Amino acid sequence: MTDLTLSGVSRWYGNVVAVNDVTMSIRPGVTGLLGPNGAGKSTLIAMMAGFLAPSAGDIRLGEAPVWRNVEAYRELGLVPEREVSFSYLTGRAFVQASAELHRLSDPRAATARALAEVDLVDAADRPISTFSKGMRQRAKLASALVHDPTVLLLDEPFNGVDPRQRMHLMELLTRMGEQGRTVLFSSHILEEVEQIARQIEVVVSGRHAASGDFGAIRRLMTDRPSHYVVRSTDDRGLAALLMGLTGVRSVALGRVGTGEAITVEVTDMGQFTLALPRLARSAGITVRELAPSDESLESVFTYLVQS
Amino acid sequence: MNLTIMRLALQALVGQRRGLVILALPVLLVALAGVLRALTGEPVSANAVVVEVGIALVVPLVALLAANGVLGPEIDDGSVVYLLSTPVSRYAVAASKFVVAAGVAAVAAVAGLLGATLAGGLSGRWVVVSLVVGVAGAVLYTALFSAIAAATRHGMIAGLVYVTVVESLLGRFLDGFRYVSVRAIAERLGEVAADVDLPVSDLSTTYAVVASVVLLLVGVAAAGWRLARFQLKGDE
Repeated sequence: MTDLTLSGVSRWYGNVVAVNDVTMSIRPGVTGLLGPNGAGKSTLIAMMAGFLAPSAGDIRLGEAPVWRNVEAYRELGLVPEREVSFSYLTGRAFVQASAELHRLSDPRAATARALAEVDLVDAADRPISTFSKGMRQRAKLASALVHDPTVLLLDEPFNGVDPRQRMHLMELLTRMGEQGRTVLFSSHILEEVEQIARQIEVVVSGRHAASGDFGAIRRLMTDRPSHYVVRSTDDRGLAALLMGLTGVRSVALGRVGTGEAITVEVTDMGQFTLALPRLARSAGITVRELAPSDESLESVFTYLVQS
Repeated sequence: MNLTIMRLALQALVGQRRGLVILALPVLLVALAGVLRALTGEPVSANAVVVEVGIALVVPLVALLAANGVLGPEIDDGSVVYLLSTPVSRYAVAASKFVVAAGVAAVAAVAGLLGATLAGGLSGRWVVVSLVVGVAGAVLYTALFSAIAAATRHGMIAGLVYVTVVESLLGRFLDGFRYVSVRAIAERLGEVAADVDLPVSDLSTTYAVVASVVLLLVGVAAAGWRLARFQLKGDE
């Protein structure tokens, strides 16, 4: 009952394809769903949570389908990206309503436990309208946790949460993964995913671009040719020296932005970063600037999709 | 039926600004009857105040606000997902919300009609009319507006069009429209109960009863269907 299995899942709106033939299996532990904005992460999570019918394919929790099956919510907890709009309720009343709807035998105790779990005890009796973004996020999480689900889905849980609360939330998700629950959260920020997810699923433009543990994804991302811009007191001299390195594939001299610079394509980032200062010093050249020219996540994704 | 859903729906309905408007409409009706009576010094015209303002306007408007208040906003802003990600059947959620909306509308409608009857110094038969037409009208209008809201995203506007165009304008010139008029059906039930002439006596009582039951079932089923096919849309 703890595996969420997607087989050949697609979702389209008219002739726009939001999710394209995704097959993956989400197992116990923390899984990160990584992808740039608009990649179809929310659509995927909505389908996994039974709130959107796949246009093709099939999603199962254990053996049971999640679409049109309210019984699945006994095992499933969902933290949507959508804001809680029950502003007239207190945090406690909101979580307790969820406990009652799950027909728990002691909703009051379950509410207290869930509020303690997310560290929202002090503010629990204030109306949600007075909550900060981070507190709302925790109230949503408490409401999703109150029935002790084995599968927890979170859509962009770290959005707009301050660093201290983000750390707390990360600890909580890690703990839940260690308890043997299946935890899946989406994010467009690589660092967030790296910190807590053992398994990473990368989604780009609706396609399942890569899948693997943290190390595998990291290697895919770092072992690719990357580009750096270097400015120095003697660009031509430094360029000649750099070309001698085996980890450098190409060196170009030319105008970059406002001035002349060297553009280096590097296949072995480790060797390049160690060798550059040594080469420059031995030749008496001063490096004025060293900057990655394509470190944005989008370029990483583009690379993953092409490979 | 689910008590938690009902409690939340009641809080959403009476705890917000919409609740004040639902309350204000009957209060205005009672005030109108009271002022007219104080100015003229004699009982008000039941037809002008209770029927043409109360039954024709106040009852459908409170039902329209109640029907669109329990379900519409939560579906529009997506927060209904917090109620639906639980093992409660979507039809039970819809039925619970319908009961609350119909109950609130009935209380407001009866309060307005009854208050206007008493403040206007009308006879005892109008007390019965207020009770019967107030409850039947509010419940049936709520069912109709729930069904309309399930069919179109513009439930409020479509409901207003129904009340102003279908019932008031076309119903006035074309008798046949009373067969699709909630007001005529509720008035017929009031006529039968209170021996007054509203005047819709050519509508058969059997038709009124059958149409009421069908409308109720369709209203609740439509609201349930709307929830069963609710889809969460991403922000992207």
